[in-house]
Amino acid sequence: MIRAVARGFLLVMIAVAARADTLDEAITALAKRVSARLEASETARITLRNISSLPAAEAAKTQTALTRALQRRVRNPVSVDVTLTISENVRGFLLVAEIHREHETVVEMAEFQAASSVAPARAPFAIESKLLWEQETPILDVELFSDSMLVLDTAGLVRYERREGKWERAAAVELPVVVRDPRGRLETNADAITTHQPGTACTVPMKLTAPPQCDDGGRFKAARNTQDLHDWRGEFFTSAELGGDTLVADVDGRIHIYDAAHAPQAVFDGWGSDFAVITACGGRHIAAAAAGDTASSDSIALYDVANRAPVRISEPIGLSGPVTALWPAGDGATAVARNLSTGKYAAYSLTLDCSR
Amino acid sequence: MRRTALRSIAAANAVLALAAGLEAARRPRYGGELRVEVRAAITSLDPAVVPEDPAALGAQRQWMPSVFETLVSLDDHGRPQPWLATSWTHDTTRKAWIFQARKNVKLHDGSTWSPPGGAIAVPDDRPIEQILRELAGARSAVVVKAEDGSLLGTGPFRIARWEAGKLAMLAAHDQYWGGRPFLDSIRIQMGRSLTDQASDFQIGKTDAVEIAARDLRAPKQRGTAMASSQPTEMVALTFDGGRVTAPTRQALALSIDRTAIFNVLLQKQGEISGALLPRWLTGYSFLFPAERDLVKAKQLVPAPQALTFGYDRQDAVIRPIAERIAVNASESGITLRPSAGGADVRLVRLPVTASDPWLALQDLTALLKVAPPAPAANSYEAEKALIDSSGVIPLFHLPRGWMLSSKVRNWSRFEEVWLDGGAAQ
Repeated sequence: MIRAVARGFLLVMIAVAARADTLDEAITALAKRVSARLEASETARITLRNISSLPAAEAAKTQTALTRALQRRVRNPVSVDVTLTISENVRGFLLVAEIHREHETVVEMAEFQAASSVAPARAPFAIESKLLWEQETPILDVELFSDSMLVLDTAGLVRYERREGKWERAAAVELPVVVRDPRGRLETNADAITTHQPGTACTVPMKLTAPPQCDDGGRFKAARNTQDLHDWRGEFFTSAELGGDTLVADVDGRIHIYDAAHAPQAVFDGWGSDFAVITACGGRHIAAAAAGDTASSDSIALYDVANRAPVRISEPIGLSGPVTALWPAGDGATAVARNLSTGKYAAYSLTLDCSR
Repeated sequence: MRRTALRSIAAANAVLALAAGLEAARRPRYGGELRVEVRAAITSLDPAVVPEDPAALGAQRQWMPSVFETLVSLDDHGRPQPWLATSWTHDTTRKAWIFQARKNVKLHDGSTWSPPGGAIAVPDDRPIEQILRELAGARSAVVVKAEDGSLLGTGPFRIARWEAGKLAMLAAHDQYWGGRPFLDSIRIQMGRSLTDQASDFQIGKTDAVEIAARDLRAPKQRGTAMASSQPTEMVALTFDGGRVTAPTRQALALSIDRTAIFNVLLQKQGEISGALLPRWLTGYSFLFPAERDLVKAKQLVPAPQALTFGYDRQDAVIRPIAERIAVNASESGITLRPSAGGADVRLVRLPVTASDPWLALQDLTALLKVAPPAPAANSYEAEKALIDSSGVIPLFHLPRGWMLSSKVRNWSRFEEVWLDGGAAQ
């Protein structure tokens, strides 16, 4: 039944998307419509106007392609002016053909979508990022082993195994999360996995061979996006120990530094709400997220804390969208970003290149 | 760190772009009350009721989806996406499309929303694209009438207090299927003039107020946080009573110097247009002429004419434009005499209420009080037919602007907004 529903849905979505053709298909469709408007003796003389963000070279190719598609051999041809305008709207690009005659102008249109050319940025300097996994469902945490991988997302926990160089889904348990700005964390030992999600903590065998045993509590506060370990820190987003001090990303949006006696020592701004300690290159450093150059992407940079103030020690690396999770992982970190062009969530492994 | 969008698709009618207040990737903070003031005065909560006041319709379409939801929603690109319906299939036997209802959806009184059989059948007597569009429209919102007569929805906020035309208090719906909103509550004061809103904002009495499009640059220069939308409001001339002939209407359209008004009075905010729908929505608005042609206008009005002219004199955006139009019209031999009551010609603001051209045209048809145009092959033909049947003269499309207090974050749909307790007040 579920499959039948899913199939039906797919058919619908294909039908809806069919309106938005590729450029080639749109040219073909437009040529057909314009052609139907022309008399047998008429030929089209096309002039181009590009008021869209389509590159000029692509626009010129479009004009050439439409001209070719409308070519016809007739004796004593009558030339008809056709203005081809390349425009765009909220759904994509639009080809508009205005067929001008003495007393009337007829309009025909065809829509298309430009191919996405956005690619995730690569680390330019000391932090290296490697794409681990990408999927539609929001990823909360990922843990990678030599031949297996655990992905905790808002639907549950999935175990993948590497077979012939490819990741294949081996087992899964449902652990749905319904929280705005959801968060989750994986903790593993030799035999079992503990998942932390808002208001609950669950334990499952490493191979997901038994149903999860869940209890209220865990590190995340119920129905919120904060952690609460019921200690001196109260409610917070992220916390890490560094050089005897504790750094806390507080709900006030600032980073607070406390000493070993939990006395406040400093407060600073400029980091996001998430950071992770990376132990590598002979020290403990902090990878912290910050807003990127544009409103749509974040970056991650490496910091040391000197005299209880942050000092950036790497160039920031850009990610494909807003960073939605950042956790320590082994001697590196795991970052999750939502790719705004595809809508997918991508988990990256972050490591340091000590040779630079 | 910026929030993970549980609802990855955005509202059809907000189309807001945050112009300021962006900062390092911060996680949203839960809690607090957002205080908003608006010019519009909504008098009915029922989304099926189309307010006659254009401002009220615009406001209703903008924030009612936070209370009453639809089976299908339109994404950023105007494409239908599953919402309260998770999927749909065609049943050839029943000659209907079957929409599977989302499970575990709670109404605002805590009861479960569950249509009979867990599905809703819609006759397949029209194309599925049209059905999906209709289901995404505000008029198709799921509204349940409680025993006490109040209206219950499924959206992220419930109505906590309602004074028609004056005040709406929205409270977070803790059991919302998409996750509780960040805010605890929203206080919306309606019927506030732009001047009153600005005063309240200055003394910290409110967090978000509307701002005229032409003033969008001013607060930016002072560093005030602000947001603006795509052009979602049309300034247009409408005609009452059919006393104005088509040639006179055309002459009036040709006499108006849109460019001068746009450059000077509107400070180049928005766009000049001869179309009902803005360019970002259709891409074809350039097909509707908007150029001035005084010679042709004079030819169309061989003898001087006088028409009564109505507009809201309290509206600081409309009034100077109206005065300029009257000057322009006189140059073609048409005298526009201001009238406080009934008028032959009115200068009005009309909202563009959806990111789907058909839905936006449907609301405009209601506001212009004309019969729906005959079925058209595409929205361009439908728009052309509506202009012809109503005689409306579109002039400009303006963005909607907001001034925001320093604690307002992620100004978009209400459920995505959060308040930064650490920000300076």
